[in-house]
Amino acid sequence: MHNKPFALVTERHGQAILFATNAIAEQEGLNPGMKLADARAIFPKLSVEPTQIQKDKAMLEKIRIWCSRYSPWTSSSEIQDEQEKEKKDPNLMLEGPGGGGIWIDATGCSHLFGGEEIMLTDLVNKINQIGFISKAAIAETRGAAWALARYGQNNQKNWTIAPLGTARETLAPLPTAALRLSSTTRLNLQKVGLHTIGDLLKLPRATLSARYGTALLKRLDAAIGKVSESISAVKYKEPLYVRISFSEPIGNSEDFRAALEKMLILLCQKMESQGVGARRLIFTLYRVDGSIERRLASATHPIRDVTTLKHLFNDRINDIDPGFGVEETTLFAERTEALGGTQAKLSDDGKSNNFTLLIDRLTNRFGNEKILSPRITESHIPERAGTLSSITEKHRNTDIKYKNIIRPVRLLYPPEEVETIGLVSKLLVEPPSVFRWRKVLHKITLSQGPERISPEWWRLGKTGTRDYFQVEDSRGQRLWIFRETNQGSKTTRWYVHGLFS
Amino acid sequence: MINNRTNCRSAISDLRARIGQIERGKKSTKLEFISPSVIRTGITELDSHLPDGGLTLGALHEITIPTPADTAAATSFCMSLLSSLLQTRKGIALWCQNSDMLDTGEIYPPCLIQHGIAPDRLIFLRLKRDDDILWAMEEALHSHGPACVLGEIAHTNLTKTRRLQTAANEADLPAIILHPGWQGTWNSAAATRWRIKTNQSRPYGLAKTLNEPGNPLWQVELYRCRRGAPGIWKMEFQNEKGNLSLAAPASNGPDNSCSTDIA
Repeated sequence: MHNKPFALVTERHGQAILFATNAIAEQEGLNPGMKLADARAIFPKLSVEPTQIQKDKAMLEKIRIWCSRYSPWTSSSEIQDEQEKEKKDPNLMLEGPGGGGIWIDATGCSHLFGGEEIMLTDLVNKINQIGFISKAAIAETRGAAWALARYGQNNQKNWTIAPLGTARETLAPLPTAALRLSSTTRLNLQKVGLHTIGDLLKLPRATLSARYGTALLKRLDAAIGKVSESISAVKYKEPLYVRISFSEPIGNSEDFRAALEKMLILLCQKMESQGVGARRLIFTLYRVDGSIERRLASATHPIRDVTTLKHLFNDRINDIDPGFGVEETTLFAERTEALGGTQAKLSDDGKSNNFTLLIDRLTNRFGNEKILSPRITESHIPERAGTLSSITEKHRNTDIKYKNIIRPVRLLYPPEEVETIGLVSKLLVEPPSVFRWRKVLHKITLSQGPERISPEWWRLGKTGTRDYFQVEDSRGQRLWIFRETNQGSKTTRWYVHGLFS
Repeated sequence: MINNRTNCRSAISDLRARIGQIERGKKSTKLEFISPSVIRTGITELDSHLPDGGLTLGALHEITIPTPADTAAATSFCMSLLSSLLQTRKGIALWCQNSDMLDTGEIYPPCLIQHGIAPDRLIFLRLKRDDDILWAMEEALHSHGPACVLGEIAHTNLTKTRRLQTAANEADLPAIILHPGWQGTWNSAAATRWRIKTNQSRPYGLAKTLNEPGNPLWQVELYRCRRGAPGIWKMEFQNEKGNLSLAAPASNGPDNSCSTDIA
């Protein structure tokens, strides 16, 4: 692939476009951004492959991790495609193949390899051995290194080193593209005859920012070291995963418990070193016949205490079917959250903590949709104003005072229609005197109302205007009933909605 | 004279506390001695009737709903007890519901505020089977986590209530069972058993002129009380204050003067 013209193809506006080309293709006059049809016209034998940005990114990330052998401070600069560009600040975005790369903060690291030259040679050679052609540069700023690696005059070894304090001079002859600019900006600069970074450096800054925006100045300053640009390194994290293999398959729940505890001790040590606690644990058992049994436990807050975590699995170990025996168990902290350094033991407020632990146990046994907390929302519609919903949903109860308006103790979801009996007053202020609800006749002796509740017009729904009455029947049962009138139809229906104490 | 009487009182309550501790098999500690742990209902007559001067904390209490029409009244009574408990003690209460019993309506959160219960101090657990609810209640008591454990249960039996009673006792936390009486009854190990019936309200003042319902009026019956006597009270729920009080005796004739059964 290195010795014949090759290109990656992507689709843009329904056309096949070259995304990246190799060196030989470029010698033939093929460039990224060219239409595939045009490229084929120039060089019919061009071999192409579809672009897979995600895979490229993953590969780049792998190389980045590999590069941490040179310095703990590494980061990869992103490869961007057209779609992503549109979402972000277009002036700072790079398109095409040049964007991808790896930054290594080599400050204080090169001497470990015997100097910058030896380190770069080693780096380029090793990446060559993996199967990639690379270019490398060391400079005093991120921007300058980026520019030199891509546009600098490389020696045969494919690397460049710009001595300290020479960024300005080294960058001056390079094309403006070396500033990590978007293609539009590059084109605009070319139109007015600004081809090199040196051309830009000669111009007054005010003119530049007025004409090309702050993005250009930002890149320029970063490249020559006027503003600092730091590398945000990705730190390696040990996976929170523990495994035990048994020489003899185990088969009873006591052994499973012992294995779990042993793994929890190890896992908790790992979590402590990372300053996290587990929110969700997966306990997997591998049977001799290759089948797998899984147990999940989740917690409402991060936990790093062996006994507490063991407790979460308590009711879920006994029903494990060992089959022909279990030869291996693993424990994985799938979800973790930060948990303070020394707070391994439970906090001093024992009671509230006991309660959260109880909720965790109940959640693990019954599922978190079964645990509800009362929500009060600012709404006129009774069903919306108060609900019981899962505790996992975040909600702040409103401070509405229900002191002056009396609301029922229990509410029916949905309201139940009643059968009115005899003449119902057409007057709006009167509820029916007798109605049948759930096969029982209710003779109204006392009533209060109406309280008119209109539908919230900004919500779509079929509910009409409701007139609520608080009524008491001859047995002393107090009910909340309403009449619903739909504006379209003239029908009036009566419903029981709530039960008063 | 007065001094003597108060001395007597304190001596008696002292003895009671000791007996209670012997009954529970606990060693006496000074702290418990001074304040026997009870829920004070806030109604003097009721509190003084109960053996410990209120509902004993480490015990099971049962509230029976005699007919579907009394559901809301019994629920409200339950909430009033809960409210008095949560006002004096820290923590969150756990309310277990049976999802098959929801045809009597769901607890409506705004009414919690009317009863003086902050919505974030109550968590509901909705399960399908009575046995799961009993398990959860027992587990909750053992964990010492909640301030109080409530359960709406259709069926249980002596053994199961005894387990709950023991768990409540050990945890020194109250357990309350709310159950529809028309679905069945059982022998129970509960310390107190109540029956709440709704009555016709007695509006007064403007409400009376307008024929509007007055404050909810209930007949609260303590039909079983360990170490104490049963009793019946008429109680009113003060809508405005959000608390319970003993109803004033009816001023105009018997309570059910206007009730005529038409069903």
